[in-house]
Amino acid sequence: MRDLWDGLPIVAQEMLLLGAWLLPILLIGAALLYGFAATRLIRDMLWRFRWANLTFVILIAVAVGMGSALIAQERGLRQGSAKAADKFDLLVTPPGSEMTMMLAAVYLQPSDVGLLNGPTYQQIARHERVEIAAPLAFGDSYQRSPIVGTTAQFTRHLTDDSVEGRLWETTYEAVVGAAAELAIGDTFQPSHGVGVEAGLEADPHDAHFEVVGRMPRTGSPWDRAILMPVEAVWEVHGLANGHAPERRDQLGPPFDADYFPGTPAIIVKAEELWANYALRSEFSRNENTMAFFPATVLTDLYRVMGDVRQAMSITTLVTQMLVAASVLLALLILSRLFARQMALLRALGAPNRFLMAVVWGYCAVLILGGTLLGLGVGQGAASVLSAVITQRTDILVEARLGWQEIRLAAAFAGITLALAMLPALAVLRQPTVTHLRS
Amino acid sequence: MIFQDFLLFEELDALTNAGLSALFRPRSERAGIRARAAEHLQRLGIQDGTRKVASFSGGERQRVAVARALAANPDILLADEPTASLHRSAADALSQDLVALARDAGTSLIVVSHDERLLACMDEVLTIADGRPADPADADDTDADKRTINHA
Repeated sequence: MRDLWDGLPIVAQEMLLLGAWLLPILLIGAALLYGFAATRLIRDMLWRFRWANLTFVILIAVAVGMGSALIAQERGLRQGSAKAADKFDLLVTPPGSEMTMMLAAVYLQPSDVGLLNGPTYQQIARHERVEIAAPLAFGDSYQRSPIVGTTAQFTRHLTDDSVEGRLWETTYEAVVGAAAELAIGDTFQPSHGVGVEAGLEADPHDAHFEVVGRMPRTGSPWDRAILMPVEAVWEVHGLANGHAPERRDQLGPPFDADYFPGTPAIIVKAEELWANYALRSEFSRNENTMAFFPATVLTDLYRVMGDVRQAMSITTLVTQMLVAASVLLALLILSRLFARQMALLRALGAPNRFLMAVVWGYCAVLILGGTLLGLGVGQGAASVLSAVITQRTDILVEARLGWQEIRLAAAFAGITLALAMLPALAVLRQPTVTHLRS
Repeated sequence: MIFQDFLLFEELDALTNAGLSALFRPRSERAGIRARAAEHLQRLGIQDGTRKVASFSGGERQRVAVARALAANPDILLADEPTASLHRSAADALSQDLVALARDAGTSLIVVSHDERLLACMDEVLTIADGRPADPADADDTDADKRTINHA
């Protein structure tokens, strides 16, 4: 049985789970409504109490929408952050917090970190399995764009070799991210510091750079960055540029260990996937370095987030249930408003099942309408939140409602509609003669 | 049953209100109920059955209620103060039509009313005073011969 289930496509599994939640509703609906033409009366009740009904629908929609938006948002953030780290196979940094180093190197968050020296870099760069060993240099910015010194080789890897214009050929040329506020041909002066540090009292370096290329959108904070030769960053800070004086015009590796000013992180790409593991093991043994996969750090983070997500799902469902209970309570009260009509139907000979069908059908329209509207509200809210997060972090977050949210909404509708039998049964307990006289 | 304050579904049209029992009766009976509802509405002077009853006057509403009661083809029709909410001319017209329709349909009509003119249309009248059947001798109505007391 388990094998049969596992053999089904994901979509089929999701559809079956959705069906499992919706089946009881269909069965209750069919059992109550079969053989009757109750829709005219349900429409009458919906229209007569339209403002109260609309309030209920909005209340349900907000509850469902908020829950589904939060879950979709969390997933979107997870996918966006994972995608942003896609090109960073292995990071080698000074020992410290993997999270801090990942935030600095992958998400370009300013932080104070130590430096790896020239011999360490050389050891990594000369390793037979290493294809790319790109040093990074941070700390400067231009307007809202952080400046990253690196190698042309890594820039090609980051952009899949699809830079508009060209890569730098001289020290004072730069390539900008897709969201940077500079165009090809513009010149700029980088300032010391990043973010608030760089503020209004920016301290520009005495160097002018020309933009010669633009990267395609990567969906990461690198979209706002300005990339330039790592030699340029070292030079504007008055440091050696990584090469011996006789080769001072050279850009990119190999670097000379004696003239290597230091780097906070080296991005390493091995020739083969398996080699990354060997490299991580090798560079982690050294007490001067720490090697880690950003993906692993993210996985650990997601594991924590996963627990939060589970708690969030349960909280969402409980919140929705509370809203549903409030709505059902309100429907019980509202059902007193049409108690006379129900009494009339009984006086005309309507069977109990018909009365229950009318009341349950009425509740079903409100609950299903609110749930469907809630999914729309959830998608809208998730899109707005995604846009805000993307704008603030430059991590492309694309939150879309998925099966999990749809299943959650179906669970909410299923349980609530089962509970809607309560107001339907309550109508039967109302005294007919009393209500006809009232 | 016919009620003093009509008890109609305001957002439904006259024909649906009159054929209300078709909504819960077996499918085989629905067409007959709707046909009778339409016929009674016509006879009661409601020409446009597609209008919502919310737009009807009191007299028209009660006519819809009468059509609803008769459309179900009942053996006995109970009417509780059917003319009490109507002005005089509407009440008189309804009284005549109600009795005529009940008679044509072969339905026994039992009316509870204070309306003397409606009572005048009845075959038999039972007077209730202080919750008890009253002695016909106490009645001061000139048409006392119609006032009989039936004791079970």
